[in-house]
Amino acid sequence: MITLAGHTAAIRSVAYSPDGTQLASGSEDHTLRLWDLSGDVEPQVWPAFPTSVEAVAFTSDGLNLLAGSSAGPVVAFTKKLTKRPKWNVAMHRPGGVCSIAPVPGGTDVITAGWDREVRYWQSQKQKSKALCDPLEVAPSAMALAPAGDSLAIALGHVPKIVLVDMERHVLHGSLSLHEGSAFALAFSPNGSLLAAGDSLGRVWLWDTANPGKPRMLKGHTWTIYGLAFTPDGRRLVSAGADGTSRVWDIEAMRELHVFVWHKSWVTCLAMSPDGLTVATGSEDHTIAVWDMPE
Amino acid sequence: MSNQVESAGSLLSRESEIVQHPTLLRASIMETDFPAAHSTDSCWFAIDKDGRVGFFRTGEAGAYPQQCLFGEDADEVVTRLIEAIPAGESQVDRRGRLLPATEGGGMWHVFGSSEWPVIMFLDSLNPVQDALLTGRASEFKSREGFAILWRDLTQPEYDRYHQPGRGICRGCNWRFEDRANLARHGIYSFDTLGGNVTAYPYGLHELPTKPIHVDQLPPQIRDYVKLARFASLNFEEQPVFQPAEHLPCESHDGTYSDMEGVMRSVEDGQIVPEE
Repeated sequence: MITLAGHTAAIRSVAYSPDGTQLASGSEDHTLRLWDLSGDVEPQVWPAFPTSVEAVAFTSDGLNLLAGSSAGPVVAFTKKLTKRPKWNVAMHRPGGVCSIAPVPGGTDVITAGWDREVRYWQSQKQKSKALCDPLEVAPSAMALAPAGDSLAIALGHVPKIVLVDMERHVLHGSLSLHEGSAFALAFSPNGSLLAAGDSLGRVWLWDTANPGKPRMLKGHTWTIYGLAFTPDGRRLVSAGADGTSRVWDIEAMRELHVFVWHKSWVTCLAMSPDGLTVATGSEDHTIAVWDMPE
Repeated sequence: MSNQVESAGSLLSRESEIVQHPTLLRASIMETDFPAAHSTDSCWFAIDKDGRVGFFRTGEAGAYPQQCLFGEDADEVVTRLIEAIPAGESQVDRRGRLLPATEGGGMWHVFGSSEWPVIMFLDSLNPVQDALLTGRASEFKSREGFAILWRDLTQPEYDRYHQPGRGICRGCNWRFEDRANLARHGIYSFDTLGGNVTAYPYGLHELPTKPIHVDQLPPQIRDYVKLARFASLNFEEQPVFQPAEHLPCESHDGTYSDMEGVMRSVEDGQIVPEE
């Protein structure tokens, strides 16, 4: 495990570049950092956000890095954190950006904000439009299916996940958690499973083709803030408010490993594209990059 | 206390780093009327080491951190939290009503009324079965032993449960139902213990059965609530504590009573000689 230190407040979001050589991180210290994972190069820092950097994401082609803050701006960079970003647009006001999801196979992204809006961004054109009607409450997590055909959005403090049909741009279904609410979402690489981590520490697994009987993984004792599948879809990693990171065997539905990498709770998580490492961000101001166990 | 609140000023205008938040709390909040916003006492927020959220009522004298979400700003957040987080169950903890270093264990016995019902702590519900059956009292979820809620307790009833030597009532406190009950919304709710002159420790009056974590809150609220953090405390396990022993604090006369009952200066923690 290596520790990436330098942020001066809690980490809010981490994302690997599609080639796995860089890691972006957003923090409550109002900065975006871009870490070179291939050597000892000092991280690039972009310090000009007005507030906490809540969400970061690379576009699928790896050419753009986007970051959104709790004050609203969505800022895009090309491969480097230049003083002047590629573009900087105020959006999702009031409340700011909650989540950014790259659209597969291109330069577009989707953002969800505390203003209850979900927007589709044409990154190259610097334009965005509402993807669907405003949500009934502010979202707490978002995940786009690998095929790009379905968007899952968890509603904050409501035991409900809504599904957006990406072709027709309408809500086409919902999933119930009965109690609690989800704060992390992830689709499996083949899109057959949707995982949700909730405020009660449970990981829900829905078969996307037949979501009637979800399965459940229990182990965490409090809110789950990060979920990611391995590229082969056989393992799931979760992390959250109880300070642990856990590795699960999806087929056997059992917990394989429990790790405590941080001095405080885990706020976010990302899986490297090759599935060999995981990055977890924490309230302790650090990012842990650790090897996925065999 | 009202002078203290005014002198502390608005957090929104006091803290330069917070002024940078352009989307803040007031706009959508002040239109919503809420009783807590008109209290003469004040209140503040803090988190514990694990991210549990605590809400603290100063009463007339309680100490409060120099840096925290305080006063009217805290009132605004109360309203937003109640709107945003669905109400669930709450419970009481007798330990959170015990003023430490006090003769008799620090538990109060108070007489209730319809205006101010009382929570009564008991080792058993047997002595109050008739009151429960007739609806004179109702059971309240309690972390240890039992608790019941009395509305309009009569003098004979009070006397029956407070007969010397029988030890039926293990303490009773008012339950201020006109106030916002944040414990039902996932937040640990503390009040100052003791009287209205000394900055005594705070006690956990009511706690959630399903606590929220601070990172579940919208960023604007989260960042304020995190201004005060008790890095060595767990609200769940330490139902009574003196904030001035953990963070730089202020109080109306510059002193506080520590967990041993010793009066100290909020400035440097030195013992204050009795006058």
